[in-house]
Amino acid sequence: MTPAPLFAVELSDADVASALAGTLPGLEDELREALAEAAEPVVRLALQRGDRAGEGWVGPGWAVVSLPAGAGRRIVAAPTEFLPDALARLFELGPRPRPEPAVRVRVNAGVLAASLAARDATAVPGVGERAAFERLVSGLRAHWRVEARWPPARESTGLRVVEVLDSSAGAWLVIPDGADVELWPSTPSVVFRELCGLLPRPDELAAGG
Amino acid sequence: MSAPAVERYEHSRLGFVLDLPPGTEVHQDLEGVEGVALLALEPAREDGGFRANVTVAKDAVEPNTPVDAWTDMALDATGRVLERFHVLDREATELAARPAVRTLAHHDVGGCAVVAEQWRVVDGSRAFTITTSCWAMDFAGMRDELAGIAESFALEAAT
Repeated sequence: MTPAPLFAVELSDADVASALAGTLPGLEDELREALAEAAEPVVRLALQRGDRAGEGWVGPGWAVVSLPAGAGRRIVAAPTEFLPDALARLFELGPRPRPEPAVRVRVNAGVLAASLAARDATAVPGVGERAAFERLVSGLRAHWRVEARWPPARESTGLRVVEVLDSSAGAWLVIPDGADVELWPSTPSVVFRELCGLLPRPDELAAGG
Repeated sequence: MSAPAVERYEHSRLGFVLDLPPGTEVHQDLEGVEGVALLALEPAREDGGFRANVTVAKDAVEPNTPVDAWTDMALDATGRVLERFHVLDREATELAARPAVRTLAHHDVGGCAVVAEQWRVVDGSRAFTITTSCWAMDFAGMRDELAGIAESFALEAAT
């Protein structure tokens, strides 16, 4: 059985623009096809890992992600159904211990950012919450976020986000709530399920989308 | 609210039971596929896509092999056989009133993105692996139903 075609190439910024415009020579036919879909995407992705940002484009057949790589970009292209696994690999999703204590932690978004930057959990009140947050912060591996946007049907928000604090003490979903966020103790299974549900269902897309 | 209908499947030779949705296509003791005691497939899809399925495999192990050690060996072997096998999660749990290990993985089946969730349990010199598989784009919506099937696995008491 033939596995799906997957591509990972490093290009300069100028070559990325040419590739998306279909004018860059020397690309394999399937990669060229993937980039053609990326030029007119159904879904646009915004990716963040720490202070590094990337973007992506998803069509009916192909998903293409562009990430910083040295002085240029790393372009990853895969059939759309492989996007969840591609994102899981990109964000190094894998087996983790379960968060202990498994309590939700509510914190101001700005306080969270400062606490993570300083690796300081003291801003969180509550015995259980602070204990959980301390373990999360001390074992922090990555803070990542992927956002999918599409032209919405009437009943759709046209937006879905998966944001994760990945720690050696477990995985936490970041759930925004106004000026605050809630950190929900989670598992890699739940996170991957969220990635599999990231893209819109057909009924969530605007007609012609 | 009434509980969804299920049909109890029993493998009389190996002594296990499993609750399956009505309309499941059931194949017992597949010919030519050693160790696969049960293959249960969702009804054929109109789009011809990957049919979600549940399998129960039985392997012989040294008596009372710890399920963690069995899982390590099994995952190692699986990774050498399945294309782009990527283990995403692993968790100690319980199944059939015994210690078990649940794993989640993604792999490529002839160009199709498949999510496989597995539960492994050891019963004496027998190791059972219950595997649910579905298309990655279906996983978010199907996971609970498939996990419910796997977690209904029980071993009949020896007579």
